Amino acid sequence: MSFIHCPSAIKIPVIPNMTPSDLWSGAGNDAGVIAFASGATPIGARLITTGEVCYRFSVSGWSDFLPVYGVCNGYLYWYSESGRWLYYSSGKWVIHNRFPGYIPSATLDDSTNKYSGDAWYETDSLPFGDNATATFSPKGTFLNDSGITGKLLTFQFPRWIAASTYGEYVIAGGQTGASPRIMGIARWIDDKGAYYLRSIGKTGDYYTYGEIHYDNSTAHWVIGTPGDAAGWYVGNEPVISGSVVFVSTLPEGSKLSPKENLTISFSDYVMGEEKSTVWLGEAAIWRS
Amino acid sequence: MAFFPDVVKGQTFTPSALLSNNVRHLINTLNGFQGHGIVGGSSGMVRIQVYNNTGADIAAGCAVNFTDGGSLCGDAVPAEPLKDATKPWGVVPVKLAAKQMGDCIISGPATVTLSGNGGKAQPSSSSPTTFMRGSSGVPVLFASGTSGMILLGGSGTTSDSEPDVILCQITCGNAQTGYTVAMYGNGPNQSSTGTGRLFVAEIAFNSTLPVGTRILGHRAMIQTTGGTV
Repeated sequence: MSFIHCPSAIKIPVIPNMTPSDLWSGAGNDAGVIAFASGATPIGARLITTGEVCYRFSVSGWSDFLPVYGVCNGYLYWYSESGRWLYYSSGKWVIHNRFPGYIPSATLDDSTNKYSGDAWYETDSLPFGDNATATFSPKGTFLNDSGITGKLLTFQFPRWIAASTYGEYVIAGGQTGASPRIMGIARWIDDKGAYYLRSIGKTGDYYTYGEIHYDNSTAHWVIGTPGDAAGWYVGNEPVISGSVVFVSTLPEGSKLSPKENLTISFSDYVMGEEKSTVWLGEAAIWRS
Repeated sequence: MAFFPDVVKGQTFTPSALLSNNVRHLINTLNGFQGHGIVGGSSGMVRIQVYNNTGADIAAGCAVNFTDGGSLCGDAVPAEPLKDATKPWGVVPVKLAAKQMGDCIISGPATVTLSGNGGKAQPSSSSPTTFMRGSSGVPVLFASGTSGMILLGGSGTTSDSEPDVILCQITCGNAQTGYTVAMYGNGPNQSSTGTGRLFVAEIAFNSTLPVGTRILGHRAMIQTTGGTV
């Protein structure tokens, strides 16, 4: 139910068409997910994912190409459990069964009109965006087979997206699970312009909303202190949809005039100013 | 622990039994009768004068910061409900209406609203009027239900029971989500003194340090925001 601004300087290889940054790590109900800026508005300016900061590709007949966060020729590369690598090489994106970095080549024998050497697929640019595809053309000895066809790769990036950092993130790219997800602290405003921020966690069984809190002694949602000679307000727990009226209340027998009631309505989501204690350590840059 | 502001000419006010008894006890003490102390007296606390620098009430028992957004008014400093517990803060013992002047306890015992369990308590910016009990914050001297008395050891102190540098051992996690660690405040061959969340200062994305890896963790305060409820 919260996100911590990741304090690590995370090293991410260059990803074509997007630049992840501003990483937040989920906790509680959001444990296991991360939120970040994509650097690519077409796929959502802000994303939440189950751990990936890069897309993958599906292809008929093979396992998906999943991102490997290592560098080959200046870019991140992908691996399919079907035993193929997808990597950048000499201006082309190559699918080959050798480890990234290998430069495939083939020679055409003019007398037989057959290739000898490697067999691979290649294309000029990767598909980017939901439903985007790119055909990888067969090369090398694949061309000795007249029936060979290209490989169609489809962009896949299950995620939750939002236009701005704090607010509701909705499902995109075939993501499953809760929708919308929330990032940020919900904030309400009264008709006098005062704001009320919901607490990140509950106090006992209840959230607090700035000065709005559940009073156990009277079993009411109140602003102020019940019994206060200067008065207090009684209402209900603030809600996202609609508004809640807090009624000005005075002690019995008070000669003061009641204040105007307060109408509380949901305003927006904000970062807030909460801090959490974490521990910061140092280790060699590591790959597992 | 009440503060009694001046009554100005023409102001209607209700006599206070607490104030009346304090005056009686003070006079009795001056006359040599020592039967009563002064109720709600200083109790060894340190207070400063403040004024409510907001447009809304600050409730009794609310933790406040001293904002740079106002100016010094005599000896009174501008106060606002707590926004950052890492900066100096205190507790206002009585409600302060907008712009009203009063006092603020910055050291010593203070009565506040408490929630949860634990020997310490600390406020948060989203809930400055309710102190959350746990292992961090200032000592809880006494608690009964949701009311209790805390001991402010000095403004801005929210020292934890753990030291600022501690031996951590990874139990799970990865680079981007952070590692869950067991902490060993008394040394590697002693019992774990707690758990925490550790991030590595600089590391490759998706790196997974093996379970059991030991790292020295340095305490850090990190921005946190809300999530899915």
